[in-house]
Amino acid sequence: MKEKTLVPDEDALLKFINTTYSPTRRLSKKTDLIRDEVIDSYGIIELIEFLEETYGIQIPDERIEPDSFRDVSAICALVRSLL
Amino acid sequence: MTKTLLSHCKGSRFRLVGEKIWLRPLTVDDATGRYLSWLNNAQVNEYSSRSGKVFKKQDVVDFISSANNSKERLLLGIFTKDDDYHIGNLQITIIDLLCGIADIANLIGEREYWGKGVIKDADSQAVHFGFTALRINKFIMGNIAPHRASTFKSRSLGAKLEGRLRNHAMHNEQLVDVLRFGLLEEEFYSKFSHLIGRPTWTPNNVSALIRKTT
Repeated sequence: MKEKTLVPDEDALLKFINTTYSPTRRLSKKTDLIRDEVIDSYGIIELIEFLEETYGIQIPDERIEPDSFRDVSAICALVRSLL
Repeated sequence: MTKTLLSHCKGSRFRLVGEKIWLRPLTVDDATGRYLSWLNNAQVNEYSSRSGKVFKKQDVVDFISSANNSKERLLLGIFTKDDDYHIGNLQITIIDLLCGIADIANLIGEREYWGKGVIKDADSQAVHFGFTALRINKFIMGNIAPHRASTFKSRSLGAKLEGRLRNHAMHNEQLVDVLRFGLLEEEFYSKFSHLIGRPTWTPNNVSALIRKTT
């Protein structure tokens, strides 16, 4: 586990999501990533690994739910709560 | 009650129709080499109890036959709507008839369909059918804790984490926890309200048959 040296950055997170999940359609910070099927049960793995590696956190099983990953703001809130 | 209902779905023209996929009971003719290859694929079975085992075609035939002869299990193949391509399976198993509790599990063997939303589509159709037609009271499902995709999938259906069985399974030669989830009707339809009052199964007389037998 890395040291907690970063704080969640919405722009950086959005860039990761666009690059990883939506290279042809530019998403916004308000995009509903679950409803719009940008991220599904398989896609969530890469995002979780990115967050845990980047911010040195461990996302508990109890927090692995759609609302935690609904949009960029929700994801940043999840990370902040675990720092 | 529900045992009889499951048997009515077998060997018929029964279909569950989703947005991207549809599901139908499997026959031994579906025991293809491609299906067999899913069971022997390390990546497909990374988090499954099948991991590390070697299967033969007869195992697939026996599995389908066993399910079709069972009064507690409904085994359905998952097929793409576009080209009728068999990509995986889903199984409903009645655990407790009196309380109406059923287990639901699935497998997407064709990896090119991972990340395409087909599991959510298939699961939601099966759960909708279970709650509405089979009168299931509660679905249960589970996975080893490292299988976070499955955790997310269960939560996406509306299921709640009900228990953690500590050091309960082996994964990569280490003991890991097993998570157990439960899904009630109101929890499911709070997320899939568009399905309320919309039977997505054919033939339509399946539900009529069910009403007749309950």
